[in-house]
This record gives sequence, C-alpha cells and structure tokens, in this order.
Amino acid sequence: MDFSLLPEAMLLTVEITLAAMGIGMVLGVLVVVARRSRFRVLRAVAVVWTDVVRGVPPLVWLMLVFLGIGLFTALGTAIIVFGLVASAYCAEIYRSGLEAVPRGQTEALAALAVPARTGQLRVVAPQAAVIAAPAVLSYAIGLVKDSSLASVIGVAELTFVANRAANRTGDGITPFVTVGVLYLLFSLLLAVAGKLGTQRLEGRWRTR
Amino acid sequence: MSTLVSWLPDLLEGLRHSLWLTFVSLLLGLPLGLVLGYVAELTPSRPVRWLLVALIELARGLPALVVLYLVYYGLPSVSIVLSSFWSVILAFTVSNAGYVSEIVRGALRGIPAGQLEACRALGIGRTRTFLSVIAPQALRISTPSLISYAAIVFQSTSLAVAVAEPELLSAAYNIGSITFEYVQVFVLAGALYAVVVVAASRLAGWLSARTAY
Amino acid sequence: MEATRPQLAVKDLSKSFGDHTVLSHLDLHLDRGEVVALIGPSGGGKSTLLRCLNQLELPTSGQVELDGQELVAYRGGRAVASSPKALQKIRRQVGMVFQQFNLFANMTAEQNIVFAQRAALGTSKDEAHARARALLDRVGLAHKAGSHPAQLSGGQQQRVAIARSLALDPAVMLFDEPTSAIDPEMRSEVLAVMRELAEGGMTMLVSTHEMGFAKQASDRTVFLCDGGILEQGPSRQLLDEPQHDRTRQFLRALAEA
Ligand SMILES: Nc1ncnc2c1ncn2[C@@H]1O[C@H](COP(=O)(O)OP(=O)(O)O)[C@@H](O)[C@H]1O
Ligand SMILES: [Mg+2]
Repeated sequence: MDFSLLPEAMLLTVEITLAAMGIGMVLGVLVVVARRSRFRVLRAVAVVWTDVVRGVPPLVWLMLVFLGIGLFTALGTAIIVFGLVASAYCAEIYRSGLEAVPRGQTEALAALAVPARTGQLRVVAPQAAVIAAPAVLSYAIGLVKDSSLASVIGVAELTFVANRAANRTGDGITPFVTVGVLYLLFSLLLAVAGKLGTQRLEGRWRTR
Repeated sequence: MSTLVSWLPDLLEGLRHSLWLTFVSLLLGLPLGLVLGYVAELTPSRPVRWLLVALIELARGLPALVVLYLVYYGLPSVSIVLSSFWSVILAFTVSNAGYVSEIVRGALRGIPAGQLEACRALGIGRTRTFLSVIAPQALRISTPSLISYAAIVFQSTSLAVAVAEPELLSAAYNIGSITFEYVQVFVLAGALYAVVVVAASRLAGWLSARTAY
Repeated sequence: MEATRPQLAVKDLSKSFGDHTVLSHLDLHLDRGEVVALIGPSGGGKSTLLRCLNQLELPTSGQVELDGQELVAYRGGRAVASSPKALQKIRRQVGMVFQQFNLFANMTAEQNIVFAQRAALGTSKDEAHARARALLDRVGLAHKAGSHPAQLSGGQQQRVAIARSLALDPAVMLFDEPTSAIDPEMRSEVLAVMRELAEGGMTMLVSTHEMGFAKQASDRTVFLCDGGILEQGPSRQLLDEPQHDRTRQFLRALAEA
C-alpha cells in the first residue's frame, strides 16, 4: 500500500475525533443544564434529545445529514454528527457526575445561604468534572473508533485510505492491520494524555 | 405519505435482518465472552491472564469497521472466503467478545471474595460453587449491562451496509438511491432503530433499578 | 417586652413524610443565649426538627419564629418555599453544623470559610480572608488553613465547619449530632469549641448523644421521642433524675453502650 497517504489520513482521524469531542463536551453542558432545569419543557427537550441522538446509529446520522440534508462537506458532516452524538453522551456522563457529588455539600450550600447558581458553579460543578473525567475520556477513546464510520461517506481518513488501498492492490490484510495499529496508538496516546490531564484536574483534593 | 408506507415492507425486512444479525452475533459472542471473561478473571496463571486481557483489549481497541474489512477483504488472501453475512457475524463476534468479557469480569469482581472462601471452607466443589453461587449472582449483576450491550450490537449492525449486507440501513440506502428521498427514508429508518434501542435501554434501566439491593 | 421574647420559638410544629408523621404538634422556645440539648432515640426526629428551623425541610403545619418574625409562609394551608431572598435571610441568621461536616471538598479550610462569606454576604476579599484566619485561629486550626478536607481528621473538619458557619455571624446555631461521625478520641476538641461558643453567649440547639456535654454545657435538655417532647428541664436535673420510664431507659442504654 501507499504509506505516504497515511499522515494526512491520520490527521483527519485526529481532527474528527478532537473537534467532535470539543463540540460534544461544550454542547453537553447546555444539554445537562436543560436536563436539570426548573422548566419542564426544557427537561423534556433534553430527554428527547439524548434518547433520539443516542438511539439512532451514528452511521444513519451520517447518511441522513450527508445525503439527505446535503449542506455540508463529508468532513463537516462527520464533525457535526459526531459532535452532536457526543453532546448527548457527555450530557449523560455529566449528569451522573453531578449526582455523585455528596448531597451533604449541597445542603451545606443551602444552609450557608449561598445562592444556588454560585454553589453549583463553584462547588458542585468542579467536583462533578473530576468525577466525570474518566468516563469522558473513555468516551473520547470510543470516538476514535467511531470516527472510522466517516469513511462510509467518503472522508479520506484512515479506514477510507486502507479500504481504497485494499481494493487497488488486492491485499486485504496489510492496509487494515496498519491502520488498526494506528488506531490503537492514537487511543493509547489519548488515554495517557487524558490520564495526566485528569490527575492535574484532581489536584490535591479528592471527593472520597 | 403513501410513498413512506410503500417503503415499509422493505425497511421492515431490513429491520428483521438487523435483528437476526444481532441475535446470531450475540449467540456466538456471549458464550465466547463469558468464557474469556471468566478465565481472565479467575485463572491463577498470570501469563494466561495477561494474554487474555491483551487480546480482549485489542479486540475492543479496534474499530469494528476495520475488523469487518479485515475479515471481508483480508481473509480471502489466506484462502478463507466468507459470505458477507458470516463476515459480519465473525467481525462482530470478535469485537463483542471483548466487551462481553469485560462486563463479565466486572460482574465477577462484584461478588465478594468472602463468598468464595466460604464455599471453600464449606467443602463445596468448584463446579458446584460456580453454578450455584457465582453464576446466578454474576448474571443478576450483569443482566442490565448485557441488555444495553445488545442494544449497542443492534445499532452497530448498521455497519454491515459497508459490505452490502441487506440489513435496515442498506434497505434505506437502496430506497434512497432510487427515489433520492434520502431525508424521509433515513428518518424512517432512524426511527425504527431508535424505537428498538430506547425500549432496550429503558428495560435495562428498569432492571438495574430493580436488582439494586 | 424585648427581654421576654424568645430568640427562637417553635409553635405547634408538625412534619410528615407521606403518611409517616415524624413531628407532631411540637412547641419549643429558646431564649437569647440559651443552650439547649436535644436528645432522643435515633429516628425520633431530631434532625427533622433542626432542618425545619432553617427550612432545609418545610413543616407540614405550625410556625417557626425568629426574634418574633414568622419564618414559614403558608398558601392555601400548605407551607410554601420562601422566596430565595427570604430564605437567604433566614439562613444567614440560623447557622447549621452537620453530622457529616459537609465541607466543600474542592476548597481548602480557609477557602471554605472565605467562599461562604463572599457568596452569602458579599464580604470583600480582604475582609473575608482576615475573618477566616481569625476564626480558624479561634478553633485551633490556624496551621491547617491551606489543607483540603480530605487531609483533615473528622474532628478538624468539624471545627472548620463550625468556623465556616460562624463566619456568617448567625444569631442562632443548630448542631446536628456534631460529634457522632468523629472518632471518640477526637470528639473533645470539637466539644471544647462548642463549649466556648456556649459560654460566649451564642443561642444554640444541639442534637447530641454526648451526655457529658449536655450536662455541663447546656442549660436545658429536651427529650424528643415519638414525634414529641416527652420531657424537658434543666439539664442536670433531667439527666440525673428523669421523670419518665422511657427517658430512663434511653439514658441507661446510652450509658451501657
Ligand atoms: N426525607 C425523608 N423522607 C422520608 N422520611 C424521612 C426523611 N427524613 C427523615 N425521615 C424519617 O423521619 C424519621 C426521623 O428521622 P430523623 O429526623 O433523621 O431522626 P433522628 O435525627 O432523631 O435520628 C425517621 O423515621 C426517618 O426515616
Ligand atoms: Mg439525625
């Protein structure tokens, strides 16, 4: 196979993963805020959003947005779709992180006359972030693998390049083993970087 | 509206095939994953455990699509030719076994070690201990995650479109490429997927709330 | 008039969870500077009573008065949550110390106290820090100002929690079994802080299983049981010569434990 195509393909895989993860982590905050809102309508919208986005396979979303809506490039489609899907998953991860912060601290905030929003922002959210970090990280690692689906709508990332090489050369093993190794390396790198970042975030304090 | 209805037979046929793919790959993947997970967690031999854990991690670390292509395009190079159906099954079984064994290992770890010691102290045999004490509890602990996992497998059958296996997404794609009404047909197909997945995840949530002590 | 009005008055207070009645038509008055010990069996409603006073729980019926001001608002016969503003006002005046300390795990001891003042009172940064330091010094923990809760013993955490509560300058302090979650040998350091506070004239309502503290540091002891006050009186008298069998049993079981 033609190895010179790999760097660019790798870059696309990284780009899809990181961009989608960034979108998902930010949008996920909005979704979880809606999910915990005082307003019933907002809560319902958030529930439906997470159910529908997670209930439909990502490949169906990719095809719907790329072939059906057709407003974005293949790469743009992949980033948007994976970003939206990630937002639903991140929201669920954040939610369980928020629920895992000991209730006593929320009561102490109330008893100390701390305004609700200030308390959530300064006490609950920072601890929830630390609790949620490992799950966010493993979602990101899962996203590395999911990004391979973008090959189906023609994004020239790793799997796409391997597939084309296999079709051209008739060698169905080398290309896929090669990109398989690259996926594993990227995942490993992300795991290590994420672990370091998490430890930093955690700093000196622990919830338990 | 009437066109949507006219697509339904094809889409439902695709859905049936997706469910069939899910069923067969779980049928093969579950026992394999159970054995892998059980051995990996309880074997006294360190090298065996590490080898298994490494294999499990490898299978989990690769994108399912890459595994599928490797099976579909790669195996023929070593003179093993599988139909697209069996390629999908084999690929999913390999990917799944790792996940399932991970769930099983988690469940086994959830059973207090004291119970094993108690069985040994009471002179209960290993097989008996496994069948009467370990397996029922592990099953109870892991049932909700296994159901959620079945939902994930069902979703991932959509990957079979890449090797032209006639499941739900392929059916939708075929209709779309003839009618060009991609939005409608993918929305319909997506809704079919979502109904199954949301129902399964609600069931899993309900079960795990019920089995929590 | 001013002198005879109680600082804190609980009037005909009832509280149910569903159809489970926890407090039933309870009356209790605390004079300014009075220290009252609240004793009774587990599940008898001590926590619930305290939590109704700062509205962590809303009563089912009855009233709580702070300095003559009614705190519980009713609409259509049901207690309704006070406005955020009114709630803040109540909680600034009524401090609470929890059994589990409930320090903010992501902040140091000093930050806990500074944050509470700035968030609840809008105190300036310098002032909040100065006050936090002074309070930590007062509870004997000036050297732990930079420690996070996870690095402190139970007794130390509880002293920080007391300092944090005092930082808002409350008129009344509620303590909910403040030493129950602390190793026995660390309890005295917390009790010493509370005793000093009592001597300083703070109005205090303390749910506790520490009979030594009740006897020596509290003016009055109240025995709460089955949703009501079975008996109450000057602490020494009640603890040495309880009038009711139920109280005697409770005190004997406690002494044997
Ligand atoms: N939020 C609640 N919901 C339902 N029941 C509660 C709740 N809080 C307390 N209770 C019940 O009220 C009773 C009194 O509890 P509590 O006030 O904690 O007693 P104490 O502090 O004296 O041990 C107990 O039976 C307890 O189960
Ligand atoms: Mg209590």
